[in-house]
Amino acid sequence: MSTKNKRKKKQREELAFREVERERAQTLRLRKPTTKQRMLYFFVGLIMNALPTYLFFSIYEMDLLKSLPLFGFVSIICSIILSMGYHNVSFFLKHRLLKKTGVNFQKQRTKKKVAGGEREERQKKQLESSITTQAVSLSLLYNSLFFLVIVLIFAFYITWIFEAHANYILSLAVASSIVTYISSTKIQ
Amino acid sequence: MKILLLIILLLTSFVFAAEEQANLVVEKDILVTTLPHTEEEFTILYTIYNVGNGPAYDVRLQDAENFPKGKYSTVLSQIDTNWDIVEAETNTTHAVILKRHAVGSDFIGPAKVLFKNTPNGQDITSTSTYIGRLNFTPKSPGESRKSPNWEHWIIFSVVAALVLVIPFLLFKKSEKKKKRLTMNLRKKK
Repeated sequence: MSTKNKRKKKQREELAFREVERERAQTLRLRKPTTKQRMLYFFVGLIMNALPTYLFFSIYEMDLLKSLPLFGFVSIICSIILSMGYHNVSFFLKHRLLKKTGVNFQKQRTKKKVAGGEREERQKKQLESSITTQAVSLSLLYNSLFFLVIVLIFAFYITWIFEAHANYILSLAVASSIVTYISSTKIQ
Repeated sequence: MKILLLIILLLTSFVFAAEEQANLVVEKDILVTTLPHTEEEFTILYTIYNVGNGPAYDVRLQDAENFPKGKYSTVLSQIDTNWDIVEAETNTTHAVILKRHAVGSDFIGPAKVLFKNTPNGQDITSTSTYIGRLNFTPKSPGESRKSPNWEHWIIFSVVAALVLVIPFLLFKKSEKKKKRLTMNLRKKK
């Protein structure tokens, strides 16, 4: 192969490598949730943890006032773990849905102004935001349902033999860990 | 002679009919659907029926012996109580809520009821029915799990459904918008 062809091939490989690196960096940047998203996931996680807490103090007759510090501490930790799971699934779903639309969301790098280009960009942004909403809501629905099912199975069929406080800690911690672990396997 | 005997009999019957006497029948019952455990409340109900033809005065119920203070504690009301009068052909009730602290078995015997036929008369004793032997065992962890607890499950289901419906509705709304925008963008191509 002539040196000219070799140089061209090398340049093409470098360009392709840079493109891949840029996409990877963008993906990593998008992979981090925004502050709004973090707050939303944490808030929903707290509500999801409050539901089995109600069952524990009504069916297992845990004293609400005496166990309040335990409820608070476990709920906060499990909400943080759950929020990671929520973001993993919403990130995975968002990319999948973006691919499915078949629309090119990358910004045009041409200097020429295309007719109707601004309107198209605005519509693309709206489409991206509706896909984000869709992915987040689906992630919240799926993970919350999954979490509740696992908590109920553990609390009433597997760890019920333990004392009420131990049962509470185990069922919530295990359920939130399983949900987050399974959600992380999706994005690998 | 016969007429004299009849007159005497009639007079004595009137005398006896005029003498009013109270006759108390006391029922003692435990109001539980399942046998109580230690540290679990249970209710004892005393029903006093006056089946006599006269009022009972100064009626006193005494049953503290069957529930010694070291083993039992009263949650509501008190075991021993009294009434000034229980009219003839009426009844009255008294309920007390107790809790037993220690594991064990007890024979819950009859209660004693003292009353008088006249305000200054002599005390007459009546005994109630008895409950019998009760075994108090500690509550096992799975006990409350096995009972239906319908109201708690209904509340939990309703709140969970409400919480899960909101993201579902958001998903449906954003899907419609996504379809519309995708079709618009594809048309332009």
